[in-house]
Amino acid sequence: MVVSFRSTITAADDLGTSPYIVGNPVDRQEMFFGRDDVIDRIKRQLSTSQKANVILLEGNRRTGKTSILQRLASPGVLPEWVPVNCSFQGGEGADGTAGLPTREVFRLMAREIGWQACDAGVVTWFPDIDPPDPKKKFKPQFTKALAAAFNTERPFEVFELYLQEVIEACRPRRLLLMLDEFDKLQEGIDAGITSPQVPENIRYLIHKYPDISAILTGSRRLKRLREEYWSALFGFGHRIGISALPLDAARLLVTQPVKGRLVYVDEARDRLAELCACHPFLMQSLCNRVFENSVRDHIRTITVSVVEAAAQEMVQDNEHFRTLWGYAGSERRRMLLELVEKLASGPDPVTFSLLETKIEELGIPIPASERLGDDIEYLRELELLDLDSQTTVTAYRIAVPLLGEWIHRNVDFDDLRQRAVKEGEAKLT
Amino acid sequence: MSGNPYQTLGTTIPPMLGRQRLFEQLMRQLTKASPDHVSVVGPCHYGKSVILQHLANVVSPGHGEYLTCAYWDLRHNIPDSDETFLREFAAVLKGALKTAKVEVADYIGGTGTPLRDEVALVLSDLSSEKKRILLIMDGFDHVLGNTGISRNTWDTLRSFAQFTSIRFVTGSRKKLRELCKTEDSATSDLWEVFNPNPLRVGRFEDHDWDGLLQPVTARGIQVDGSAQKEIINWTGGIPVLATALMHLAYESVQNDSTLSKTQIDEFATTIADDRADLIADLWDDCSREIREELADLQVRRELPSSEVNEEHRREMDLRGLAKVVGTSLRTASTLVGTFARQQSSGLESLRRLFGDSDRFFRNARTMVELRLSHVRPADTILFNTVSEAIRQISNPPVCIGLARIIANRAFEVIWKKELPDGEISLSWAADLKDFAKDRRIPAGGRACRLLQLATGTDDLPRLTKHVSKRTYALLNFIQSVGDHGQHLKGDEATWSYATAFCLAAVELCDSLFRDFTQA
Repeated sequence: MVVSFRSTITAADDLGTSPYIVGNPVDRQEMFFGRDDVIDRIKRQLSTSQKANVILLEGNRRTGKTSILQRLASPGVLPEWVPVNCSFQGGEGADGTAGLPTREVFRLMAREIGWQACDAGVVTWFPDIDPPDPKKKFKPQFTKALAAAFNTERPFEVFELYLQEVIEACRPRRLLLMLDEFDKLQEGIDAGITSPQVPENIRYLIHKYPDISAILTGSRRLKRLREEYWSALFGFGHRIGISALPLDAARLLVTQPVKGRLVYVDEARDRLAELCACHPFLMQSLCNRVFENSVRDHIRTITVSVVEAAAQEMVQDNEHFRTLWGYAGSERRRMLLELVEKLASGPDPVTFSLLETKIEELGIPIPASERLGDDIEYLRELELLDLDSQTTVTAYRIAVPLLGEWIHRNVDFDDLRQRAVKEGEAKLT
Repeated sequence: MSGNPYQTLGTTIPPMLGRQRLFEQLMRQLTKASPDHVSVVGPCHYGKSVILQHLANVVSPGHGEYLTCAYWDLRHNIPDSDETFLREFAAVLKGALKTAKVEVADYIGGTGTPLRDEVALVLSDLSSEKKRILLIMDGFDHVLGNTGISRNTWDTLRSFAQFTSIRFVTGSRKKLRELCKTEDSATSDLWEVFNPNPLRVGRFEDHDWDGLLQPVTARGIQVDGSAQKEIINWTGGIPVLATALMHLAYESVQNDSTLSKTQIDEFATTIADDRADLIADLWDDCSREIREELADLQVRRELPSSEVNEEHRREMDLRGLAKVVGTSLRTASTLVGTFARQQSSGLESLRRLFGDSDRFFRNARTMVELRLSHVRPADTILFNTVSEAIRQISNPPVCIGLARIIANRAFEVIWKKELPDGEISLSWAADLKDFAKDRRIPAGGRACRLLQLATGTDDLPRLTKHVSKRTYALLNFIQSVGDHGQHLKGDEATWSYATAFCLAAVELCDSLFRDFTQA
C-alpha cells in the first residue's frame, strides 16, 4: 500500500514548472502520447502509393488533430516530404464577415508554403518576379513578392504556377500540404465570400500533381461536408478518426512527464484518466491542475483524493465545459445531458424510453419534424453522450465524467427546463 | 506624508503589495516549457491592473525566453474596428520590440505587405530564434464589448497565438467568452487557446497581508495581531478598502510605534464617512441577486449557506463580501455590511413597488412623474404635453398618440433657437447641400434628418449652437413613436411601451433645458 505523505519542499527540491500543455497544441515530442498508430497509418498511407493522397483527420474539437500535424512537421518524422502546415484562421477576412475571400485562401497557402519550405531548407519563388537578393532575409522579400503576385483577378492560376515551382524545388522530396481546420472554408462559402469552386480547385491540384499529398483536418462539420457537399474532393480521401487516447498511453501521459518529481498512486493515475475519459486535452488540463496544487500544498505523492480535489477545482470555473455545453446546440439537447447526469444516480438505467418519458413529463414540446433519437445521435457524435456498458439494455451516460460533474455544479435545472419549454413552443408556432 | 505607497483609484497604477503567491502562479504559467495564454479575471477595483503592470515591469527588460513585454491598456483609446485593432496591435508590438530587437520590429510598416503578414513575419522570426514576447492586454472587456470588432480579429489573434513566440495575458472583469457581445465573436477559436481556468483575482488572502503591510512595517511600525484582525474584519480583504485604510494608517502613525485596534477602528469609520464612493462602487458592481442577498444578510445577521446559490456564495467569498462559517454565511466586511444595511430598506421598497410586472405597471406613472419633477422646463407647452402623456400611461393608445405633438413642439422650440430667421441659414446650407436649394425648414422625417446632420456626423462638423446629439437621439425616437402612433394596430401599444416613451419624453425636456442653458 502506498501512503500519501506531505513534506515541506525546500528551494533545493523545488518541483519546477508544470510540464503539461494546456490550450496550445502539443509542441514537444516528450509530451506527445498515444498517437503512434495514427502517425504510422499516415506514414503508410503516404508511402504506399506513388499517386496523390488525401488523408482526412476527423475528430471533435480538442482531440489533438493540430498536435498530430505539428508532430508530422517535426524534423525527421517524414524525411521524404516537405510538410507545410496551413491553418485557415490566419488570413485576412472581408469586412467583418467570417471566412476568407478566394484570393486570400490561395495567398495564405502560398505564404505558408514559401515560409515553411524556407524553414525546411527549400527556397521557392514566383515566376515572372525578380529573384530575391541573397544578401537580404528571405521571408520579408518573399512576402513582398507574394503581395505583388497575388495582386490579380486570377489567384488560382497564380497559385498553380507557383506550386509547379515549389514541386521542382522540393525534389526529390514531395510536398505535403496539411490544411488545418479545413471545414472553416465552408463558412466563407456560406457567407458568399469564398468561391464554392475552391474545394474543386484543390482537388484538381492534388489529382494533377502526384508530388503533392494533403492532410485535411476538421471536426463534425468535415464529416458532414464529406457526406453531403464535397464528395468530389473527399471521395478519394483516406479517413482517420481521432478520439480519446488508448488507456496505456493515457496512463503514460499522467506519469511520464513528472517522473522523478511526483509519484502517482496507480488508483489515482487511473482515476484521473477515467474522469477525463482519456481525452488528451482534459488530461493535460487536470494533470496541470494536480501539479500546481502539489506545488501549493507541498505534496509529492498523488492519491485519489488529491486527484478528486483537483477535479473539483477544475470544473468549478472552467471555460472548456461551458464551450462543450454550447456545442450541444439546443436547449432540448442540453436538457437531455442534464437528465442523463441526474438520472445516472437513480435505480434505473438511462434508456431512450426513460429519457422520452422525462422530456414529456417536463412539458418540453418536440415539433413533428424533430426526433429525440436524432438529438441523442448528435450528442454521441460530439462525444458528450456515450453508451453505458454497465447495463444489459441500451442505456446512456455522460461520456466524460468531468462534464457530468460540471453539469451537476453549474446548471440550474429549473432554468434549463424553462428555456427548453420556451424553445420548443417557439418552434411549434 | 509624501510618497504614500497605498493608492486608491489614482490616475497611475500603484505598486503591487501582497499578491505574491498569485503572481508566482502567473509566472509559473508563463515560464513553463510550453507556456499558457492566460486570462486574468476579477471584479472592478480588485487590482488586476496592479498585477499586470507588475508583470510588465518584471518581463520588460527580458526574462528567460521572453525578450520583452508589451503592456496594452485597452481601457483608453479603445479600437473600434478590425482595422484599428490590428493597427494598434502591430504598433504596440513594434514599440516593445524596438529596444529589444529592432531589426524584427522594423518589419512592421517596413515591408510594404499587409499588416497581418508583417506581424506573422515578426512572430515567425522570433520562433526560429526560440525567443518570445509577452503581450498583456489589460481592460480586454472594452474591446470584447465593441460590436465593431468582428470574429475575424479574434481569428487573426488565434493564428498569432499559435506561434510559440508570443504569449497573451488578458485582464478582464468576466471570462472572455462571456464578454463577447456578438454570438459570432463567441464562436471564435481564440478563446480555446487560453488556459480554460482563468486566474482569479479576488480579495486579499491570509498570505497576502505581510506583503500589504510591508511599507508600514518597513518604517518600524508594529501591527499587532488584534489590529491586523480588525483590518480584515472591516475590509474583508477587499483590496481597495484595505488599501484606503492603510493609506490613512501610513499618513497618521508615527515611525517606530504600534498600530492599534483602536486606530484601525477610527480609520475605518473615516472611510465609511469619507470614501462611501468606494463602497458604493463595490456595491454597484455586484449583481442584483448578490446585492439582495447581502442586504438580507444584514437583516438576518447570518444565513444558512444552503439557502444561498452556490455560485453566489463563491462569488461573495471571492469578493470578500461574505464568508462561510460552519453552515452559515456571514458578512466578511463590516464596511460593506454597514453600507448594505443602509441599502436594504431601499431595496425592499423597490421590490415592493416594482418587484413584478403588475406592481411595475401600477407604479410606472408615479415613477415617471417623479422624474419629471426633477426637470426644469425649457418650454412650458412641451412640458405640459409631456405631463399629459404621463397621465395617460394607463391608456397607451392615447399616450402614444401624443408623441407626434411632443415631437412637433420640440422641433418648433429647437428651430426658434437655432434658426431664428425661420429658414435654414446660409452657413448651414453651405455644409448641408441637400437642404441648400429649398431653405424652408422641413417638418416630420426630413426635420429629423436635418437635425441629425446639424448636430454633427463623422463627415460633417456640428452646426447647431445649442442642440446636442443627445437631444437629436431622443427626439428621433419620439418622432418614430409618433409615426407609429398614427398607425397603431391591435395590442401594439402596451403600457411598458408607453412608459418607455414617456421616460424618453421627460429626458427630452431635460436635455433641451441643458442644451439651452449651457454656455
